[in-house]
Amino acid sequence: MITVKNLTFHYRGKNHLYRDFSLHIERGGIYGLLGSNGIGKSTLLKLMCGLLSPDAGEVNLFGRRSRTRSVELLSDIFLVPEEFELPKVTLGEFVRLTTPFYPSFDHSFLAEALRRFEVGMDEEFHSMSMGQRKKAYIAFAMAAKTSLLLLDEPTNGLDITSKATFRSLLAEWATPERTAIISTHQVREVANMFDHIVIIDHKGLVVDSSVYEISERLKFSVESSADGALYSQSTLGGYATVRENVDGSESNPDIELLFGAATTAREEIIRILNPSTNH
Amino acid sequence: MNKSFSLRRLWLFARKHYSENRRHYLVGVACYALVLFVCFWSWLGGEFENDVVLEMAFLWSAMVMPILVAQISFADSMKRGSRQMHYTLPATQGEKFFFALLNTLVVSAAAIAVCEVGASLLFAEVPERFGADRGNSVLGHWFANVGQLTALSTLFMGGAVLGCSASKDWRSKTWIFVWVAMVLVYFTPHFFLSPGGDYTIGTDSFLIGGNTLYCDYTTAGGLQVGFLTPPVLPFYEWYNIVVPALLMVVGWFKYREREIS
Repeated sequence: MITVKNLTFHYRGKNHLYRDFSLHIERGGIYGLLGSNGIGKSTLLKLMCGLLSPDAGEVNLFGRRSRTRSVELLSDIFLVPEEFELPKVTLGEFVRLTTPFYPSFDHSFLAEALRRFEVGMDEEFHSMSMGQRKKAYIAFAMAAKTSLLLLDEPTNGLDITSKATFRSLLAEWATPERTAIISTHQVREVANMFDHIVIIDHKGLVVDSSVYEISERLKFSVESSADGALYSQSTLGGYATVRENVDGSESNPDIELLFGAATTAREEIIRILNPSTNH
Repeated sequence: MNKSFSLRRLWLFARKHYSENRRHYLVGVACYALVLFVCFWSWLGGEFENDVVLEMAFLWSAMVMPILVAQISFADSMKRGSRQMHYTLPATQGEKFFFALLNTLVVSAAAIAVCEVGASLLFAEVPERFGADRGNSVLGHWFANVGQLTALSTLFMGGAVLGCSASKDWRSKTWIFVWVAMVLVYFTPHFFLSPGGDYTIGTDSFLIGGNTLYCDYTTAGGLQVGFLTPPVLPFYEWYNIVVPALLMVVGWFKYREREIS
């Protein structure tokens, strides 16, 4: 579905964010895109929807170059940026004016999402709080029912109840035909939604594995000692650790621990998870 | 789905634009009316002569209106908060640019015409009703300046389209180019014509006065004609078309290739 092949990219006057970077994303599922600040997660989303063009290499969506910004591609992807400005109209008017561009738009999904988010159709965007605007736009983006949904820090600015609503709506939105890529730092809030984890750092791809593969190859547990662990964090009951799963036991992946391990024990994690492209 | 151009999508895009930007247009009209009112009020009070006030209206409409209209037409593609949404909205790049270009040209031209004719009529007709002694034939002034007005306004339309289509670092280059081109429009005729002397075409003779060629029609009482009228310098007719068109074509490529960071 998405093929990033030998991507090289840098902003003018700045260092390279990507050098010969490759990634393949299959259709269906919810992908978590993780990485430190400034590593290029938002940039990758922008490259995927054609807002930026690679210095070298290519980014293809559904077999077409994303940079063409063709109308077929654009009508099947939706980007929710971290920060955005909505026009000075009511949500209802925005829906009336924008939905004709999205052939699969689902009005009943939108009505249900807005009901759960407690956002009214008659409200003007500019009289809404930032959180309200974000909820309205996320609801609209999901209701567009595009094959690809790109969400950049979607839970920033949402209250606790709205975060739970977001998770439940995303679960209802997901089908084997639709893919969501969520770039976030607030891992705990959406970690249980992910089917697949992608972690990038300044050298490239560190993790590109399904949650199932991660739980199969890594062991997440709380232990009294962190000796020999790939990564650990002290907790009330001892140490939350990540180790290579050598005994075939099952554990639920802790994405924060995985991220810590990917940062401190990069090569080990790559060796264990064997991502499709190593850098 | 039509891949390259669809009138339906163009209509949808235009409808969205006007609905979402109607407040900007209202503010634009209000500013526009305010400037005219200030000009008219100053003139009625006798602070300025006809020519000065009309020149202000002329410069305002020819230079400022295209920039204001282009700013509104391209607003969504320029603003940091909305440009990502603009460029990912499912319409072709051609449709989005074509609409903004057409809107800039048509709305600017309409606004300029209304401003110029309106100002001329206002200055000619209204004072008589106030009993003021200022009822000269200023409408003739407007017709006399149509050539200059067209040259200036199309140049600024082209500059505004390119300035709004390109990334930030191109805007300063664009305006330097526009000002150089404007200086050429205004002053180059003096290199072609003998300063202060006569210029003759057929049986008509012309005099240079300031930026204007005066046609010496004694029966018409020395009616002014713009120095850009085709019989005088055919080169300028092309200059007025080619330079703005070039700016707009470059604007299209800049718009299409623009990176949204």
